[in-house]
Amino acid sequence: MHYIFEILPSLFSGVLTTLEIFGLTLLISIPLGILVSLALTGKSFIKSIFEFYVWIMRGTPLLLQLIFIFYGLPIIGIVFPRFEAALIAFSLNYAAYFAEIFRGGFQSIPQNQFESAKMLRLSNWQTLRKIIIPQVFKIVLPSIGNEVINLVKDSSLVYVIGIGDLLQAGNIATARDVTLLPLILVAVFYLILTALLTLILRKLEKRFNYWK
Amino acid sequence: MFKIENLNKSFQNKQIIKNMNLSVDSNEILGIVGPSGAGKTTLLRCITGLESFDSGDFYIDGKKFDPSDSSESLIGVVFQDYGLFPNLTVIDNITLAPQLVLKKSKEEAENEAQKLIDQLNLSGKESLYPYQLSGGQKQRVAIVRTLAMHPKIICYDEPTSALDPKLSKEVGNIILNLKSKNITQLVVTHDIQFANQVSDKIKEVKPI
Ligand SMILES: Nc1ncnc2c1ncn2[C@@H]1O[C@H](COP(=O)(O)OP(=O)(O)OP(=O)(O)O)[C@@H](O)[C@H]1O
Ligand SMILES: [Mg+2]
Repeated sequence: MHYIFEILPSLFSGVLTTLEIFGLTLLISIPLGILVSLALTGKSFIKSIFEFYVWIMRGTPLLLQLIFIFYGLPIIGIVFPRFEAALIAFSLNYAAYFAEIFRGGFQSIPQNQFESAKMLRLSNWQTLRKIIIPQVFKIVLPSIGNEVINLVKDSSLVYVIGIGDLLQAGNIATARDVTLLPLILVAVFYLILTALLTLILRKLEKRFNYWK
Repeated sequence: MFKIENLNKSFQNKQIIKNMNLSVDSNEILGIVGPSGAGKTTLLRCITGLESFDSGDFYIDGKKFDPSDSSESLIGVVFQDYGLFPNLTVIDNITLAPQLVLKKSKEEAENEAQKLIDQLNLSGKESLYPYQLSGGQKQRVAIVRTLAMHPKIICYDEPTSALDPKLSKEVGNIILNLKSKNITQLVVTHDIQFANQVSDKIKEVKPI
């Protein structure tokens, strides 16, 4: 018990880093994903550029992308600090997944919604904001939820570029003190985080249930 | 007055509408009838600018207009499937565009909507969502939503196809009552009896 209290502070500071990466990535990648999904439904040339981007991001490991940005790019003179490198890699990667999800969502909105909005002379932006995006959100929420849970766990990948997240804190303690306890505690932390997120996502889905 | 001159429309080399002319006075109701596939819906979609056409001229009160230019609210349409916004309540469906497009205050838009809601027998449904309405109620909401934009012309595509005879008659009366508002109305229907009930004149379209 005493030992647990001893290592808790370092684990907590690791959790904070994990949450920071998690939160900032969501904040950047969801709006970015929406924009990319709009580009994916657009005209041919722009569309193929973004299709290429999504293909790269989804077709290669996130770990590779992370290493590429932090250890690879400096070779050609592009240097990012650790944390920024992690944020860029995660945001670009998750935006691609979100874009695919939103693209599917946009495509499942019936044509008559766009036509009604046009007949009422709503602008494209008004139509998106008031009519289309609320409907799309309801449709994509379960899939977005899955990705959000994945992101909590994926955030542990920042370990390879030397960021002191939750997993790193646990691993250091285990190596130093030769005990399994820190790793078990790390698992408990992740479980608590994902359980909380699942709960929040359920609530959110319920809030979107006021219409069908 | 609403007039179409020499409208032509084809889909991939297949001509659907050929040299069509029609003219309707303000306050008049034109019934448009014809067999399935004759191009009735296509005609409405050309008039409302949802579909491009090959050639033809459109006039409102003697002035030429371009259906694809949506800068003025001249034409309203009640779709066959109503096209209500499922994420908005009845009142929001109706007042969204008056607020955002006509720049009315929320209060002004809602007061005006309320009058129409009462007239069309929808009182008490204001805060319901479309999925909570019957087909006839949805249709009346769609009519109110169109009216709230003060169009000069309203087009209906098969307004009775989802309604029982009693409701059809009711919708017919609503359409007839709108004549007093100086609105030109075009009613596409395959129901000859309904066409006879509401129309001042009837235009028959035939497949080419
Ligand atoms: N987007 C399209 N592309 C190609 N052909 C089309 C398209 N829309 C309609 N058509 C064709 O145009 C013709 C007229 O269709 P339209 O829907 O206008 O008929 P309608 O008179 O409304 O029939 P109904 O009474 O069954 O509603 C049909 O032969 C249809 O196949
Ligand atoms: Mg039709």
